[in-house]
Order: sequence, then structure tokens, then C-alpha cells
Amino acid sequence: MDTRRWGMILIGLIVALTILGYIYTPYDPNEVRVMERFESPGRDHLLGTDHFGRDVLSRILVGGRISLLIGIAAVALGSAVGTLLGLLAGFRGGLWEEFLMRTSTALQAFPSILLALLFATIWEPGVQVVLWSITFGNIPYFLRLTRNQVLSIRKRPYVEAARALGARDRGIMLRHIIPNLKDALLIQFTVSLAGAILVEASLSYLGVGIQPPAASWGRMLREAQGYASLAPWGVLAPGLFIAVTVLGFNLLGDTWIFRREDVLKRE
Amino acid sequence: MYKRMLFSVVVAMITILLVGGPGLAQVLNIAIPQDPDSFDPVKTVAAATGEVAFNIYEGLVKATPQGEVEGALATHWTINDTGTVYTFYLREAFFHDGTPVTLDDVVSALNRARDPKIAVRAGELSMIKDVHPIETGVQIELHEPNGAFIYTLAEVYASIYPAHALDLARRPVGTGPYQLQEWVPNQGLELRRFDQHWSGKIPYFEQANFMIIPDENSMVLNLKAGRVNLIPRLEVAVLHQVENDPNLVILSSPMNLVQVFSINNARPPFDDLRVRKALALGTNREEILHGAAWGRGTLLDSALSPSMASFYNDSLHEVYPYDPQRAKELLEEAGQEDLQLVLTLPANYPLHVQAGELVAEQWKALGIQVDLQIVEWGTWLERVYTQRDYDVSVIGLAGRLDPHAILVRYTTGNSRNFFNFSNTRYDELIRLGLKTVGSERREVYLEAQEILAQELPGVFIMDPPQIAAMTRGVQGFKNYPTYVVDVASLYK
Repeated sequence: MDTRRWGMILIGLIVALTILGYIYTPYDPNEVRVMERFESPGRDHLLGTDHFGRDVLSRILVGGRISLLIGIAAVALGSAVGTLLGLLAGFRGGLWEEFLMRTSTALQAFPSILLALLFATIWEPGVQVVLWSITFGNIPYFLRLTRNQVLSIRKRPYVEAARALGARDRGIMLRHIIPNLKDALLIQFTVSLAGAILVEASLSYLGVGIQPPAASWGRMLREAQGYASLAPWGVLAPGLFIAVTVLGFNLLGDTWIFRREDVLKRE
Repeated sequence: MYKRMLFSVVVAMITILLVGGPGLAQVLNIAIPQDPDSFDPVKTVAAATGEVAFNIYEGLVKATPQGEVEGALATHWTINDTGTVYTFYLREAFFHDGTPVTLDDVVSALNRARDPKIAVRAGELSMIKDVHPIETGVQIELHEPNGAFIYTLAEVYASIYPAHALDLARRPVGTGPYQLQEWVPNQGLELRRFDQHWSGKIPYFEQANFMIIPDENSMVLNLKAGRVNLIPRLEVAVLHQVENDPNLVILSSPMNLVQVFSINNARPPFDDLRVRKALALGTNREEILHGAAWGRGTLLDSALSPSMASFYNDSLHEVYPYDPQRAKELLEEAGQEDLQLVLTLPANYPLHVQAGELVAEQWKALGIQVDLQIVEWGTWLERVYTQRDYDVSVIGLAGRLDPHAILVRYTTGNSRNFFNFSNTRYDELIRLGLKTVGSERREVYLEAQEILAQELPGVFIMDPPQIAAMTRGVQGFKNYPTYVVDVASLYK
């Protein structure tokens, strides 16, 4: 099979399982049964139970939705804002560009985790901390990417030609630049999604992200780590799902890169 | 030439053996989770200070592992017939700076400890009317007889230090068996044996290092690797990691700590006893004991730990046994079928966080919407303890030697009463408890506990297990009903 398909397959699988989580879970993911704690994976519990006797598989199924939804929402927001600002910087130049680029450099120097810890002290730990830190963390990447693309596309002969024929800025932007940005943005989008999944997991692991009893993969890792020697499945299951999702998004990004190269070659 | 070199090498080796061998100090490494805040006995509020300072400071009396007090800087004491004048007879002892303990030092330290402008816990010594020196010792006069008084003298704030000491907060000068050598904040403390201790006993360990390790998993890893010899208070959640290790010894005993789901009695709808009752009836404490403490703790029904055997009221099991059906009915009666509450949990205590997660599920089964809010310790202190801005929370209240010190916090208007609990009869009983002695005093506290069990300032859960883990070979560990580590009793 074409190795480029793997990204699609993995992400498809994760999304399908997450959707399944809305319809069916083997157990109530938050139901506590202390006497059934740390049951190893078997017929009753496919992925075993955790320290409160909760079914790990059920929690994995519902835990994914938070990772995916927050990831997609935050990256979408970050990319939208970043792209708009990037267009502004690329087109206007001058002080605007100077200001936006310096700000984004400063923001980029800030690791997402630190940003999140800052947010967590301003607000209560929770979903909004994760959402905003991923959003803000992503703006500079999209800003920079868009601005660089705009600068390079602007110099291309067909854009110069359009301008010579009297096309206005807006027309050039809509007709020539944005369509050419699409591939680069899509690639960055998948890479950012992979990063977002990791950031969400790390923040929940650190305790400033998703709050209990809600299940998220990062939170599950945190809760299970103390019992890793006793019930390794508690750590392995969410860890595996995080890894597969991140891998899936990265492969998906690769697929876009390959496809773009194919197109360029054909041209 | 060659021979001469060989000779000098041999001489060097012998020298190293002779000089280096006996010079190897006996060192004990102890892991504790939090840094002390200050070593000024009257300024400190952190439990970690008391834990370390027990080895550095001494008072006129000190606590024993049995929860009694015995003479420390006082050889003995007498009480007059009315019970209002205590006379303490001093022994000859030296401070760590080599100066002898004088009557002046004792008087000035005690006066400083009860000065509300200086001491944070001055209120706990407010029963003292006057402290004055007499020829052979110190006389302390009380306003009225007080059964709890002698125990307060064993607390950190009643420690004795030289009147001339300048910077107690960072450079404590006491009379204890160890003196502070070095303190690197958030990293550790180095204690050195004090060879002039009045007891004449020389502790086995020449040096004791208290290492600050906030994470319980790293504590265990350090213990297994031999970098730590003793964890005096091990989180029960990591017990399974050390339990079957042949190189380690585990000692488990009650902690004299009361884990309680505190309810904000002043905030509607929790001012309605039916709502509090519903929460109590809907709490499955067995499940919390097993789920959060691995079945190792002791369930309790009042604000005292069963480890205070002579005062604990053990007839309260049936006041509010687990009965979710009845709980639902009560919520209905109170018109609170759609009750929503925020359960605030202190993040740094896994035991309390897990207990909170469990109880949240139990209360949800009653139809209550429970939102968990996990906050840092500083936020918890600020919001729950100081501002009392919360619905329900969970915490462990550390035990004291005397029941009064524990129970007084539930009286109306007490500064530590973050339950906002108020009951006239209860207030009366607590006042009465100080004036009575013997079995009469016991009766008073039994009734007081009954009121707490019925009126519910909170839902009392358990006395968690105190688990000490140490490398095989460390011996003499003594468990105290107070939050201390007694280094001097340890040997190898």
C-alpha cells in the first residue's frame, strides 16, 4: 500500500473511535468501582481499569474528543488570525510589518507551556487555558509563513504582470496569493495539530489543563503514572493514543508535501 | 628509587586509612515534601518547620510518642491547689551557641510567644496571666484553671531560645540535640549533632539532612537508590512501590489527622442542616477509605482521631450511616433536588484530591451537580481557609496533644473556624472543657463530638495512615501524634 495513505488511515481511525465514544462506551467512563481497581486487560475490560476501577477503554474513547476538539478549534483560530496578520504584514510592509514580526518573534520565544502556566495563573486551570495557549502559540507560525509566502509570491512574474495590467491589491490577494498559500498553510495546519495534541496532553498532565473527572489522554497519563509499575496499561493506553494521533497528523502533513511536489513536478 | 616510591605510596595509604576511616561521619538523609517557612518559633505557620524544629528547639516540656508531655528544659513542675499557678524547675542546659540557659531567656521567650503584636499564635497562650522568674525556676500564672495549658508548652511556639538571639528566622538557636548548619531554601537543610545536649546522650547520627522533595514518586526513587534513608510521611498512593522491597522497612500507624469534607455552614443552601445531612448520608466512606487510602486508614465519626483514645467518642457510627435513598429524600424536603456545588480540592495532597474525586461521583448519584476545582495550596489557603469563599472542600486537620486545641476551631467566631460552624451548646462545652478535669472533662468532650457528628460542620472521613519508609538498618523510628521527626532516637 502507498505509505502516504497512513496519515489518513491513522487519523481516520482516531476520529472514528472518537465519534464512537459519543454513541457507545463499554462502561460509564466516570463510574467508580474501587473494588475492581487495576484489573488487567481482559475480557471484562479490554484495556484494564485504573486506580478507581474505571474502565480505561471507555475513558480513552471519550478522552480523545477533548484533545481533538480543542486542538482543531485552537489551531483553526490561531491559523485564521495568524494568516490575516501575515497578509497584512506581507502586503503593507513598513511599520506594520516591523511591529508584527517583532511581536511574533517575541511570542515565538515563549514556549506554549510557559504561556499556559501564565494563563493558568490569570484564570482557573481548565479548557480555556489550553485553548488560548495553543491559539496564541500558533499565531506567530502562521503569521511568519504567510508573510514569507506573500513576499515570495508577490515577486513572481505573473503577479507583476497582473499589477502592470492594473489589478488592485485586493484582487491580487484573492486571485493570486491566497490560492497559492493554500498548500503551505495546510501543511502547517497538520503540523500544528500534532503539536496541539501534545500541548493539550502536556498541560493536562501538568494539571493546568482538563480538570477531573473529565477524561483526557494527558490527564489519564498523569493519574496513572504513580501506578506505572502496578498497572502499566494505565500509562501505555493513553500514551499510545497520543503517539498515534501525533504520528497521524505528521504523516498527513507529509502527504500534502508529497502531493504538492507532485503537482510542481507535473507543472 | 622504585622502592622509595612504593614506600611513600604505602605510607600515604595507611595515613588515609587511619585518618579517613574513623572520620567518616554517620549521615542520615530524610526526605520531606515542603520547605520550612521560618525558624522563628513564634512566626512559623508551616508544618514543615515543626517537623524539623523539633530537633533544634525545646520548650520547658516536650511531647512523647504516647501523646503525653515530659520535662525538657524543666526537670519537673508543680501546680498549686487552685490549678492556676505552675512552677517549673529549670535544669542546667546550654544553647547551641554555647551560652547557658537562664531564667531571663525562658521568661523573655514565653512573653514573646504570647505577645499578639509579634506572635502569630499568641492567642493559643492567652490563658497565661503572667510569667515571672523565682529563685529556682519560672512561675506561670493563669487567669483560670486550664486543662490544655501544659500541652501548649510543648508546641513549637513555646520553644525557649536565647534572649540575645538576632535572626531566629534563618539562624535558629535552641537547646535540642541537633543544630542547624545550613539551609538552602527549597533544596534542603543540614543538621549537625549538638554534643552539649543536657541529656548527656549523644545521638547516633552526626549529621541529618532534610531533603525537600515535593514529588512522591521522586521520593521513592531516591529511597530505592539509597540517596534517601528515611521518608517519615509517605503518600499512600505510592506505598505499593515500596511494599515488597526487601531492602526497605515500612511502618504504618495512625496519623492523628482528621480528614474532613468541610462544608461552608454560612453559605446557603448549606446553612440548611437537611442539605448537610444529605451530603453526609450520601457519602460512602468505606469506598473513600479503599479508593484513596488503600484501606489503610481508620474511619472516624468526629473531629478527633481515634488515636486520641481517651477522648475519642466511638459511639457515633450510626449517626449518619451511608444511605443514599434517605439523602435524596432530604434534598427533596429541602427543595434542593437540583443542588449544584463546587468542590475545591488542594492540588498538592493526592489523598484529598482522590477522596474528592470519589465523593463527587457519590454525590452525583444523588442528583447533585458537583464541579471539581483543583487549586494550588496557596490559593486554597487564601480562598478556603482565609476568605472562606467556598462551598465544600476537603482537608486534613493535624492533631494536637490535647483535645481542646483541636476542638476549639469549631467554636463560633474562632479564627480557624473556616467551616463557619456555630452552635451555642458546643461553644459552652468547649469553655467548660478547660475548667474540668478527669472523667468529667472526658464527658464534656464526648458530648461536644456528638454535636459535631449531628450538626455537621463537615463530613468526617478518616485518620489516614502515617507510613514511614526507611532503608533496612535504620532503627529506632518513633511515631508521634504530632507532626515531627525525632532524629535523635534513630540509629543504625
